[in-house]
Amino acid sequence: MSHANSAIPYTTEIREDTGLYNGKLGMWLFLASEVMLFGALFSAYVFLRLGAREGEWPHGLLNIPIGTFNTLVLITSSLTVALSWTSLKLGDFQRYRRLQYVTLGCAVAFLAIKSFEYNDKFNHYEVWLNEPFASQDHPLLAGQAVDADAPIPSIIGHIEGIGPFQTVETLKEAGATAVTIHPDKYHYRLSAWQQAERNLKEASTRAGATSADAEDHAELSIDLSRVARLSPLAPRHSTYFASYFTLTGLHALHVIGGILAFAYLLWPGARMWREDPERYTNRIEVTGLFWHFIDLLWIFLFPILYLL
Amino acid sequence: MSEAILISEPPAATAPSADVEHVLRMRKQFLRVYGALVVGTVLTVAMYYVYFEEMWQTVTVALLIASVKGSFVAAVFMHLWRAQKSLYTILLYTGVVAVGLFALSVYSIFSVPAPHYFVR
Repeated sequence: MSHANSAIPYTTEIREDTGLYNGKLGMWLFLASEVMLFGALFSAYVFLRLGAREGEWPHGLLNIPIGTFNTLVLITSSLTVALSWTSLKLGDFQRYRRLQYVTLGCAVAFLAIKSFEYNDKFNHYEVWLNEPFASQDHPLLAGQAVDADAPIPSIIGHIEGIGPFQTVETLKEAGATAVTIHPDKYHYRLSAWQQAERNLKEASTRAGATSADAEDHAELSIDLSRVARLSPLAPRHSTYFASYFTLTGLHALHVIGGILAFAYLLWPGARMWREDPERYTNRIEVTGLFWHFIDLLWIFLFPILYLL
Repeated sequence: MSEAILISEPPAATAPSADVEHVLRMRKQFLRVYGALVVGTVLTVAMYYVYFEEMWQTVTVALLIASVKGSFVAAVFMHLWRAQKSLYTILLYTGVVAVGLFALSVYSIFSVPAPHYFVR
């Protein structure tokens, strides 16, 4: 053994029975338990998604360009982790360090973008009405109706002048009597956004406006006495958002764990490179396995949460 | 020399034993897989603009693309391509449980009279 005094055996040597060094075997056992954890959450999500009635599952509320960019950020970090490991294999510590700076940068960027998305959702509201609006009275809300003449039971958009996590009760306690909402162009109940576009064009033409007006200028003041429920796009909004925040929140915790591990190995833990480079390289390999697993999770999370 | 300097500039240590050519080949593989993952991501997003009649069709295509991308990550980045038998054993058990969970979900959807009862 290269570490004669080490209490931990097989840090670099291969065990005959497993064909692996212990760290790698341990990481794979941990990842197997992670598959069970996320597998249960994924299967619950798919069950709920397939069981949802048409128009009841929020659709199109997440920012796809931002989600795509974040996916590319995470994939890039996976590449730099893999390349940094090969640099250590070739004895090039400086190159390894530069690549790991990029990895950490990508990881922090991923979390920053996710925080921006979370904040946007906490300030984005749905307002359910006691009595649905007649779409004929509100032609520029046609994108919120199932078809151009259908009633509008709820409106989704940004509410002027209120912070995150408000409810009807908290607004009333604060003395508000009405809310001013800037409705989104489309409501998620329309599973095909093309249909919403058609509705909007039809209703806008009748009202003598353009669909761009609906997006840019629609503003609606609603008396709180007409509001049955008001919720930000937070976990309490719906099963979808409860699932979204559970899955992405748990994923973000893993990203934070990965950052801590890589940062430790990059700075205080780098001492080991001088003493036992092979063991240090193995540490990077197993931490890399964890990081690639995080990437793998996101590869599945992105389509099911953002696109379905 | 202070400890901080030692940490930031570790002296040249003996490089871990490695077949240089093999490592360089792996580097090229990693770059190719990265390219494939980027293309896969673009395809996934493009799928959003394709309208499918049934939700299960959308879910199937999305999960298929994700599975191909995931396989690349697992096979190349995580070195599962030609890995040790013990790893395959661990993953076999894991896979059986994971597939079982999904099978239960699918079974429930076709067995419970009104699954949307659970969804507001």
